[in-house]
Amino acid sequence: MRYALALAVLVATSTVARADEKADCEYLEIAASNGKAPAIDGELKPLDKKLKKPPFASWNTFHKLSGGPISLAKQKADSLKLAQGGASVLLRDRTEKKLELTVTIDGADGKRVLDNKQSVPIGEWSMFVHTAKDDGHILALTCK
Amino acid sequence: MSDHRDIDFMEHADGELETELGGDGRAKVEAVKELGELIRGRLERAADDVPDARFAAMWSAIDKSISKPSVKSQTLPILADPPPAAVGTGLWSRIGRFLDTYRSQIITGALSAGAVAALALVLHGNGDSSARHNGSDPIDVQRVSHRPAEIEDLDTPGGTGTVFNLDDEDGSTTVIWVTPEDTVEGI
Repeated sequence: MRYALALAVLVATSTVARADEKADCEYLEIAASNGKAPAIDGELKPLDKKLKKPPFASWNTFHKLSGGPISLAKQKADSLKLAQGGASVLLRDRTEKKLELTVTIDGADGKRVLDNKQSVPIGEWSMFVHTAKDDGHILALTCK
Repeated sequence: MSDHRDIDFMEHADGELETELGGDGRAKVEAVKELGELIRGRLERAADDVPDARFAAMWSAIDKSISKPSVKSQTLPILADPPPAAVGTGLWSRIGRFLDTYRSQIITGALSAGAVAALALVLHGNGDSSARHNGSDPIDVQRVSHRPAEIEDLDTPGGTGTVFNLDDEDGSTTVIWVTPEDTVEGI
């Protein structure tokens, strides 16, 4: 009985420790433009309300370029497979409420567009936008 | 005069007999009245001579004899004040005795509490003020506050970075908007 209890405590603490060392994220790469008719991809539904608000409302067409889940390990940068350019995300640290992330984004020409360190509340979206002429490129990221 | 007996004069003196009397008879009636007054006065003086303390002792004795149940009445159960041997010593018995003793206070307290509660309900309504709207006052909508992300460092080579938050019912979203340097018109 003692061994079972000790094992349970060990498993529980190791699970908590593992939870502190990682983050489960989801990202969406979006192309924003102005088309003849407004259109927002169905896969962008989590961001639908935000995309209809200014300043995003200056575009009326939003098309998903790439996206999906990504699991981050602490202090290990992961690259996002983008259709245009490239991006990386690093989980520097996390608490019960916030994640400390470092996000870098490179343009399609390979030049660094953005290098950002932020502490974001768990579950909330961060959107990184860079414009080129009249179009926009959006990377949205949320982590738990 | 010989027609009247002594008892007749006494009844005349008490006003119980009203017959015609002669002069001698009226004198006898007056003598009986005076004699009665003398006896009454003598008794009242005797009563006055009794000290107050003795009267107090007498009344005390009378009270005791009234409150003390007779031998016959002790055979019947007395619910209000049972003899010590008949009183239960258990918890429920003690609670019962307590409630019995303080019945009026408990009832008064319960009625007061009920009145206060009713007053509070009437004055405060049902407490759900957010659900009521009379059509003239604006509805007080409380927004859920979200703490936005904290930007610790931002580098935008070849461009200008603008940070803002978009708040909606889904939460707060931090937006970092990078505009190239060669763009004349910003956001």
